[in-house]
Amino acid sequence: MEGSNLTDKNQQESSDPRKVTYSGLVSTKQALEREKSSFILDKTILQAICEDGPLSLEEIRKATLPLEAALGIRIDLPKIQEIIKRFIKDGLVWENK
Amino acid sequence: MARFFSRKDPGKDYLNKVVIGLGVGLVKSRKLLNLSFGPQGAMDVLSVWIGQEIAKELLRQKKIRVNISEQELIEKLLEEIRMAEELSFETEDGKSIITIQNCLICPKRVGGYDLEGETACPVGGIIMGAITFVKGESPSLPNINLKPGEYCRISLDLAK
Repeated sequence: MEGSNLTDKNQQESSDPRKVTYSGLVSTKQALEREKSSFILDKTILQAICEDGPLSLEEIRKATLPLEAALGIRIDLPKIQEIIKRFIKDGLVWENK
Repeated sequence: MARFFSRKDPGKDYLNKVVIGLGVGLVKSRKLLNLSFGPQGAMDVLSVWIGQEIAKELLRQKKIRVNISEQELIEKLLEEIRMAEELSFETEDGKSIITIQNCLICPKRVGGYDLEGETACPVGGIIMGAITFVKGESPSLPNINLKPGEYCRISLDLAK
């Protein structure tokens, strides 16, 4: 019984989005060259991950704050997650669980 | 698929020329200005503010209302600022995909400038700025995916 609770707890921890970090699979220069035509928010997120990763979602959000001020638009976590999902699919970013 | 065409109105061409000049100016001065994310990054920031100002004016002139849908707002932008000759909407995986065709504010296609492998497209930023201004503090931010060429494809998530 106790073992089963421990397994449940481990599973919960591994799927906790706060514990997930993201690393770049290519250099910042390569990543930005590939994403040259992307929107500035995408490039800001990619640069933060490739240059300073592994980073958590919260740390990535902090990196987007200057852009949030520059654009006058609130950038929330689901939006950031959506962009990272595309980078993972495109092989630019790795998700560390 | 829905398609919308812009009406010809040469009297409105000055705004197009302003945007073309801004785009090519950013490309040509990118080293001097030391733009962190290139001319496209600079254009993105500037065009979001341009989009907000255009939306503000459309509201002031009562050409749009705050409860306008994103799709209707984009159609209005096409008509009012002659952003492109043609815009089409399709639904793909629950997302509205907007395809810009024959863009009329492209420094390369319309202006005829060599952009030296760079892009300086204001369309995504203008759309994002206009939507966020009209929809308030927490709009559904469009996912802007620019594939440069004669047919620029911009993906917008209008699901929220």
